[in-house]
Amino acid sequence: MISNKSGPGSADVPLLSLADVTKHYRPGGLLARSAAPVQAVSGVSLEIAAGATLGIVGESGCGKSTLGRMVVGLEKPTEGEVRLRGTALGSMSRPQRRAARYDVQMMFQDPYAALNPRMTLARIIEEPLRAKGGLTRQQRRSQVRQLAEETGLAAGQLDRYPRELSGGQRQRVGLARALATSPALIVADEPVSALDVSVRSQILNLMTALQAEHQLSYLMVSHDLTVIHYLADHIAVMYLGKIVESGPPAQLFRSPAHHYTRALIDAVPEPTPGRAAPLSSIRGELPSASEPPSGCRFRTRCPAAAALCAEQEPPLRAFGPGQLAACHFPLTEAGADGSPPPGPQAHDTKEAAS
Amino acid sequence: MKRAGEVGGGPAASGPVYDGPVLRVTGLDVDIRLRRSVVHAVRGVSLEVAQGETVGIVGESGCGKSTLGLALAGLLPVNTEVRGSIRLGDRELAGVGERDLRRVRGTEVGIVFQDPMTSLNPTLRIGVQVGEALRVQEGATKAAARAAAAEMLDLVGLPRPNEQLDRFPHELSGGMRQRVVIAAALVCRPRLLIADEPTTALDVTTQAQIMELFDRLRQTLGMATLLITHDMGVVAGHADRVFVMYAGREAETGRTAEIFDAPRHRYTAALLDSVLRLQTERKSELATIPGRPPDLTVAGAGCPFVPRCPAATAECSAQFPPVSGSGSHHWLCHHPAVQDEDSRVTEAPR
Repeated sequence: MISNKSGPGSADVPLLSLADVTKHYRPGGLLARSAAPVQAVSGVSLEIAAGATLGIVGESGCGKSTLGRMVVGLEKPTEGEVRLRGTALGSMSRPQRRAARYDVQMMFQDPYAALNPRMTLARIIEEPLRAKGGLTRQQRRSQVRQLAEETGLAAGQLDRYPRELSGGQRQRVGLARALATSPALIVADEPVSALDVSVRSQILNLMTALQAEHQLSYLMVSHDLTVIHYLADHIAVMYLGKIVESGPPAQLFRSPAHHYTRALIDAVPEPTPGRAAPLSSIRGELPSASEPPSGCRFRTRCPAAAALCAEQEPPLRAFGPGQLAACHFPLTEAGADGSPPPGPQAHDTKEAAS
Repeated sequence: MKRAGEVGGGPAASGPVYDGPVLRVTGLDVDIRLRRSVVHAVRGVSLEVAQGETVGIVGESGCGKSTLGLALAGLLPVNTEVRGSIRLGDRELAGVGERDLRRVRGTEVGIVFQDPMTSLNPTLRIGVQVGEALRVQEGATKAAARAAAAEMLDLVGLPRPNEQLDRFPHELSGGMRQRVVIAAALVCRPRLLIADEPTTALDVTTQAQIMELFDRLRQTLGMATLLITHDMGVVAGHADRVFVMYAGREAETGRTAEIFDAPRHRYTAALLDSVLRLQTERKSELATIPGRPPDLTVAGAGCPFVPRCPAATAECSAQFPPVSGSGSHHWLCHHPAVQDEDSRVTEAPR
């Protein structure tokens, strides 16, 4: 069996890296030639270390799901490279690609749609093991039992069908299946969005425990800032195919530099009555991804937009420690050497808004 | 009170002056008949909503909150049985024939569902859909309905409303579609708006905009609103009162601050504890509610929360708890969570 656990220079090469990844979709149909391509993802660079969680946050149409699909190999980037342990997915040999497929697994938002309704849970969880091969039936069965136990499924449920389960249990099955091939990375696309609050906490607890146990990495894609804040070690905020800001959660939430990040934080409905929700600072609609605005893509909805924003695209610059943002008129001072930005106004922006 | 801007001239609500609550539900039961069993989806629910008031209905999926909304809107399927009283203003709706109900539904009760795409007809232009209720219910002319639709689209914040009238739903974004649905629900100036998870399918910034719109419309039009949602954050920011449901029954009700700051029912407390907040410590062990909501085909005697409750005793299994509390705050729990300001209640037994 091919082992891909020992990539070249595995000590300092990140588990996963995206280098300037771009994905354009050409619209299908009769008018395809004349229509502008949809720029789903544009020039995104990211890294995920082993055992860490990268959270990608943004609203529908920002390209976050496309990004996740490229990482698991469901989509090929138009430009740029997705590298697993330093090797680009596109340049892998067949056996390497096969190994990579088991090394990166996916968990979906709607576990019901993602599970074969005609298979029992045991069969669903076993399926990736069968595909991977190399195990006897007995070994597979004992692994399925172990996976079920780890994800909190009762052994008695294994001969049931997905329709007999609650949403939370289905998501446990989704996790068990994703874990079956002992992946290093799980791409989780809105894994708890469809769940009730109490069940959401159960799944997040489980994901946290499994991460610690298996040194798992997560690429967590969500529109929900509270979920991203809870689980991610590093956050990337996407808008219209581009990363507009990234950084560690504490830094990003304490002093967001980009106006879009700030708007997202302000829009989180806090379960605290009496605290007047700040009026949403951004207005209008997400522009078309086929014809993104010139310069800064956020400028059409930005409260601080000026002429410069239409002329020049702002580059990603360093702000606080580990924080990058692409804005001409940021909310905090850019730090040239990654030092914390000065100014007391940078702190506790969330509280200041109330 | 005169309702603002009588666009379509809704005469439905004219008559003797009535100043009680817009909606008064008393002892409502909804049974859904299945092939071999009966789901007791709503049991003994009583609640009131005043003019201009927003009441949030919260609970986990399967707690009966959507069924309650459908029952109030008269939209339950045929295999259901409704008992109890639903009064809209001074009129009784329970037991009213489908014909009369349809009229009430269109003119006096507006409904907004979660997914705007399923509420809109993809083949009809927006102007036609928004003005439809006026045409059907009040016999407005085509031109009058169109004018009213444009005015309504303007009110819900669609830019250039006159141009939007001839567009189709797919040409709009999700947030704009939900605005269209709201416009269609409000075009006859209903007295009651039922919004079932109105922002769940929307992005956070869009959600904030739509909730701001609801707040503004409530002030402009003065309608009573039932906000059905699982999102405690939305309820905290936009409801005047909260009605917590569990297993088809009322668990607790009170002013929003009372529910959030001093929950008494163990279910309310557990629900609030499990809400993820930006202040929640990262990767800490989150509070959960063990188990899952009960099977509603079984009508047990005791409190339905017993199997999941940290404070349950034999008494709880034997007897459904009576209503406790005073003023606006009530709960149905034998061993309510202890609150500092209420010294009469001693520590609940463990």
